[in-house]
Amino acid sequence: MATIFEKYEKGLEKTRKGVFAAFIQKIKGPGLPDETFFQEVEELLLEADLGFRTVAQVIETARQKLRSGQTPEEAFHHALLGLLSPSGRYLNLKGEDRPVLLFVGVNGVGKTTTVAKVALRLKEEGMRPLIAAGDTFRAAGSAQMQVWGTKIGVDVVAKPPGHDPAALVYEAIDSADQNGYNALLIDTAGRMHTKKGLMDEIGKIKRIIEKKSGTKPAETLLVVDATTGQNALRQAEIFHDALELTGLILTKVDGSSKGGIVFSLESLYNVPVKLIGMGEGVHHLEMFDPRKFVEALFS
Amino acid sequence: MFDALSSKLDVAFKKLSRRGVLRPADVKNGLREIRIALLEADVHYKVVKDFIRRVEEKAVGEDVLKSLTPAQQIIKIVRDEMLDVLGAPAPVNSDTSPTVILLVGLQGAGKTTAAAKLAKKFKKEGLKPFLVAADLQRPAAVDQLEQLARDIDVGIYATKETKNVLNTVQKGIEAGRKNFAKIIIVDTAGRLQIDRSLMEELVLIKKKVSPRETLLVADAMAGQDAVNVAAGFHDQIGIDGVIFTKVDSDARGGALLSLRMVTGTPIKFVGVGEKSDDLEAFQPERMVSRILGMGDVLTLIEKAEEQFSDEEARDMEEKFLKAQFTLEDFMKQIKMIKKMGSLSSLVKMIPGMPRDMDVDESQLIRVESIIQSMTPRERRYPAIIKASRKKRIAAGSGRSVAEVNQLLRQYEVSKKMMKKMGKGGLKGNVPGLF
Repeated sequence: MATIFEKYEKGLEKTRKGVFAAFIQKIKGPGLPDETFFQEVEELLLEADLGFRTVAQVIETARQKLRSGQTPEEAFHHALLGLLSPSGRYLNLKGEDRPVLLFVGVNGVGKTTTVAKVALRLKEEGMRPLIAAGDTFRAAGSAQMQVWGTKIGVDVVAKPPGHDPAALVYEAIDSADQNGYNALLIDTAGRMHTKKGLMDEIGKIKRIIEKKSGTKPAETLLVVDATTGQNALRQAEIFHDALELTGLILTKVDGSSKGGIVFSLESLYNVPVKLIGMGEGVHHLEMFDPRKFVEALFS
Repeated sequence: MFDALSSKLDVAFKKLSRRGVLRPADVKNGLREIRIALLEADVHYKVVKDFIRRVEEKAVGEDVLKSLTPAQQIIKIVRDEMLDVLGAPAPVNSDTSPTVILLVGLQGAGKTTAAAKLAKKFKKEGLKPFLVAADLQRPAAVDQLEQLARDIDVGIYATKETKNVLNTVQKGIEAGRKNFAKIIIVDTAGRLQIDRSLMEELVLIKKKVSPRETLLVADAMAGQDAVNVAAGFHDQIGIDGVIFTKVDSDARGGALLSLRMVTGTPIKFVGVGEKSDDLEAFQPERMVSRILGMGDVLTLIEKAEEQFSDEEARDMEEKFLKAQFTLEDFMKQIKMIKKMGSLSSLVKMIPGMPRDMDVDESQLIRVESIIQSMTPRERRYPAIIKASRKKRIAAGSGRSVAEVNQLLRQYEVSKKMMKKMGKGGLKGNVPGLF
């Protein structure tokens, strides 16, 4: 059986073979870094979607570390790791009878697929999860969730399109409690963070969970597409403002995209990436381990 | 929507606005801000590099247009270059009967939604559309398109019996023909450009059904990798154009510039919402402002140029400097501004202003009527306006004395501000109210 680490390495292989490969080569190359070196590193990091400001910060930190005697590899390793959140990255599932996991995000990031992957993971760990198909807006949004439910053998609460998602969540909590489920995963419709009405709606859904359970959702997770550019920061900012996010899930890391936005996201909002999705396969979901993430870039 | 960047460029503006000529050092400073702006807009760094070089070549030594500040001039060059790169908007070719349109792209780009939007658009134009649901990968994608087809009342070929995509596409097109459809839109599964077997599937489909248009559906929020996506799809299957989706986000959409540079194909449509009507023709000017994050600042500059003759502007500037600005000038300004269009449309063009700000147009009319009720002497020397004159002016304009007082107070405040502005380069700016 492939270990989690092997799978992780495999998922990141493309990342490594891409832009960062050249980056690593530079760092490991002979001689002391000159200005051309820094310029090239800057470009490589920019191309990985770290964003202008974060790249400038990484290079500045690395310069300081180089001056204090670190090797280029150590310097950049530390500069990058230093940006990531020190918060725990395990899903918060303990200490509550029936944790609620709320999945939110803009359109097309892969929320529904991610919910299915997480539900399967919980099921395999011996829990009895229930899914609320809260995307009642997109045509066949619930149907997609139901197909997944059947596939992975997890029950799904679904309503016809156009049904009030808040009401659905209310019923799903009742259903979970009455039927002995010990985790509730709530899929929601994709919403642009720029649409106030939709942001209000998700706020309402969260409040209903709080009222009904007497506690906040165990996890409020923003699903972010790894191919997203700097707009991911705006998404995180607005969703965090509205919902107090507890974690991020980075999807589509199997692409040629670098997922470099993670560094800016974590350093700015101190919300940790908890899981990364690395493919369409239902098992392609892993814990996010910053050390391995950065190490994988260097190895 | 554009606030973040426009404020940054405003800073660049300020750094440059007090210079008279485009010297290499000025250009470099200005371009540094623009480079950051483009990078933050997710334009690919190589595209940025190339682009900045082109602008620099054009900008250094350039004669500054009389009516623009050097900073505005640089931005104008940037805009012109960008318009050049983005190219003219192009329609979807519908000259074959039927016209087959193949939609391709990454997962989650919005292909299925775009398919329905396109169908609705053609339907409105009287060209009978037909949809083919060929995304057999994503669970319930077929259901989704079926439901959308029902909503917009358009024919569809959808089957869940098979996983054979080529077969489905061929049968779907055949069904469209039998339906006498003029436009047949084929929705395909999302795929990564590096996924060999799925890309080969598309190559095969393209070869077998020879679509009139193969359109790449791309997400406006995409980062640097948009370049690889576009190149991957273009090199392997060849695309004829781009549909840029999720433009209703606040993403600056720099990926569009990269897409266009890499593929050289036109941008056909932009998606601006989740509803089936939310598809717009591509408007390069608007996209440029967006990528630069500048609102329509240049449109504003142009409008101001049209309305204020050089002489008038100079005259006004002198009055500002000497603080000889009278209520007569105030009224002249109001008239000029009215010529430029509605106040709210003007405000929208100013970067940093909220897009949905309400502007009370009636206030201008009120001010105008009060000034009109003054004698020329009163307009020139507002200081002489005391209680009884105020009463007369109020009666004449149908306003209250309080409103007359308010106007006079505003006038005094503006006058003081002008004094403070002193020798600041007012040239090219809209004087007065702004």
